[in-house]
Amino acid sequence: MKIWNITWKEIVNRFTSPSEWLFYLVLPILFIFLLGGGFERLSQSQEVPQLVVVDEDGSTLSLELVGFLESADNILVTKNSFEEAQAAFKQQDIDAYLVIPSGFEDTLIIGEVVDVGLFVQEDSQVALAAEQEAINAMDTLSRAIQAAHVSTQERATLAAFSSSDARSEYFKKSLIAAQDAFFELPERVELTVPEQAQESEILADMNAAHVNTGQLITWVFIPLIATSVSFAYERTNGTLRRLLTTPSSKSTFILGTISGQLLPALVQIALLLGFGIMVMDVNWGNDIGALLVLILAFSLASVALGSMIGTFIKTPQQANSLSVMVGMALALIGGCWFPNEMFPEVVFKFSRIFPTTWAMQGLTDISMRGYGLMEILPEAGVLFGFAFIFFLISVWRFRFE
Amino acid sequence: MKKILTIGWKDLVVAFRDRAVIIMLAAPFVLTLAMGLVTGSFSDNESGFEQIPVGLVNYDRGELGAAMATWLRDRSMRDLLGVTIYNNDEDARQAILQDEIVVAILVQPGFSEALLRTAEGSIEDSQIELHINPAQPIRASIVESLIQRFVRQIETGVVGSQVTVAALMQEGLVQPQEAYALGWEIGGRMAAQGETLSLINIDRGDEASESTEFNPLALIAPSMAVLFLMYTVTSVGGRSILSERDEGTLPRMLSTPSNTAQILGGKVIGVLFVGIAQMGILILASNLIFQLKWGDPLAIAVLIITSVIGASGWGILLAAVAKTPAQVSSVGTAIMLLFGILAGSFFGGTGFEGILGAITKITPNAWAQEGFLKLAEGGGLVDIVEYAGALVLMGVVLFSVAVTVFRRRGLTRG
Repeated sequence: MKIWNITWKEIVNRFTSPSEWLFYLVLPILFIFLLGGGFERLSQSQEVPQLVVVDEDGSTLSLELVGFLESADNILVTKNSFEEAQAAFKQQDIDAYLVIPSGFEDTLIIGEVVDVGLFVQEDSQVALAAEQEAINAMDTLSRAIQAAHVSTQERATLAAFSSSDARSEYFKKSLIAAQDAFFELPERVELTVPEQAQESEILADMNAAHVNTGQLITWVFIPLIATSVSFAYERTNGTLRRLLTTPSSKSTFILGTISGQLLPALVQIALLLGFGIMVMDVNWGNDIGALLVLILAFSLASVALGSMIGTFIKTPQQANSLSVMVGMALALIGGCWFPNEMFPEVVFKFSRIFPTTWAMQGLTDISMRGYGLMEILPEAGVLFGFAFIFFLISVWRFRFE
Repeated sequence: MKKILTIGWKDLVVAFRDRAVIIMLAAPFVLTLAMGLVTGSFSDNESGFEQIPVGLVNYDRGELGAAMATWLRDRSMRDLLGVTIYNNDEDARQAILQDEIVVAILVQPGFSEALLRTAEGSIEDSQIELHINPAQPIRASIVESLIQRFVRQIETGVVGSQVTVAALMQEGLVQPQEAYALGWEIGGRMAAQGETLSLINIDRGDEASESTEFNPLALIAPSMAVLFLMYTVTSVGGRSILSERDEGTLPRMLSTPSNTAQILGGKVIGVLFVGIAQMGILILASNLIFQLKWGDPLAIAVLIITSVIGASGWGILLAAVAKTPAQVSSVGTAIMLLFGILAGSFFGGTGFEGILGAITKITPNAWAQEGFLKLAEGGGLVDIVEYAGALVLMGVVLFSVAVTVFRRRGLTRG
């Protein structure tokens, strides 16, 4: 009963200010939504890259290149003059423009390299998509022309052409044959994933899954390590000393304070998971047991870390600042903001001394690999281990004054 | 003026005496350090995209399977891939489950046969299966693009040889018995030349073709500096005005021969002092410790001052509309985070595009980050006029609104 009273007091204290809801739900949801591409999801479509083609050649080959681009599903292609394309690009009305120079076909037919201008807006993912489509189209055309050239050169080596027209005719026939052959090529590379991921149909949106996991850990981790604020507050206000006059033990107080932080955190996790599932289409796997065990292990490790910090810190303000800084830094190093597959090997190994890394790995195994309880036990075990050590230090260091 | 500066100086001293504030002043430094570590900025830009562990199972007994095995272990690929050969796909798939490799490259038995001799058979037999680790999609996509490039080179050779030989046979210049040898020779030559054969060269203009070595910290450090500047001016600066009121020191100050404008001016100067000191310390320290080049010192000084003016506008406005110091603190932190995410401060300055991108223009983060980037790229005072101007304008507008609110509500009333 005493523990419940302290727990309830902690919960009431925390939610006294309406602004607490900002950090508890509003901002986490907003971050998950914005970073996970929710804005595009809401408008039911991704922004279509706009590419303007300036065809200064107007030849068969330049028209073919434009045709390749126009046949791409995920790009909007329009033709315009150089001046207008340049002006629209400067105004950032278009994502990229491609300049096919005069003499494009003539240069290619004689087998020389032609320079094509490709101008892409900086720092834009949409523009990068337009650039990639343009490169693909030019690659397709270039490969067919290469094949036609080799064919024409081999023919000329064995028997000279009677005229330049005959050579040109031979080249064109070879080009058509090469284009047909490339068109008929089947897909040679097939992507597959392990059975668990396949069965869970998990591969829908890796970015959304990573963002949901990473932001969930960040926004739950920081308030949980801010348990240190409660400890510092009670100590500086003298309420801990008052507890000495009551028949309450040290462990009753610590357990009550921790439960008061842990319970809202578990509810917060459930709400953020629900948001991920319902709005961001994140698949949290089929094993609810795995999810529960890992969430409990992570929450305990975090709250225990907060309790431990609380025994070292003197004022609530210091505890508050330190929780934000430590929370953000550990979330970053743990791979919650950037996928840790990007990290240098040494940093990745170093990051394994932090609970956020293990939480991220365990939850990623569930949300991106479809793992079940047995597979995430190592991560859960390490997190319970962290919790045990941090609690041990907290109890050892805890002072009423 | 002396009174204003005295109040401002007092606030600066009080801020730097508070350990909690010192921790928050250290925060951008700690996060810059962490970002530098994860992006490999302290280790010659080393990243997780080197020596990507892959497994190869080659069931193909033809030339192409062998060629792929050789190519994957070629010296040119050594920095990018770390290849382990497996005897069967079960072992390779198990290695994926145990996080030992990122991709298992499974070359099916009929791969060479299908490609080189266009033999009929099931499409599965002529494929390369890439069995990927779903938890590492970025590294897996790098491996996929490398394998696609290899396949494209082979296909170019195959199509080139087919087209050539077919045309020559049609003209009677090659006999059927010579076709295979000639096709093999042409295909091999074309595949070996690969991308060097490309006839279309992409010209991206002068700016893109300049290959200057860029330190990612030049993006990260300013982003973090501005992010925590927002925290300081909203949570610390704004709060101090209301704390003075709640602790009764504000009415005492008003009982002295100082008017409201002087006291408010002093508090504003205090916020500016703290912000400038915070930015200055971070820039100086990152320059000394990380050897980070921020650019032209005069332009940097101008941008620091204007960034603090822009950000302080938000801090003072918040103090004007909030009722309690706790409210300033929590809403201030929320604004810092919101502005940070909109302007991409958490991710080294890569913000949103479209409507959200337009909204970021209300944040000092977006303008300041762009300005610092210009300077890191070698720009000077002239190049940051636009950003500095926008920040000053932002500060002036927000200060004006805040002063109006203070006048209406009275400085000492909640």
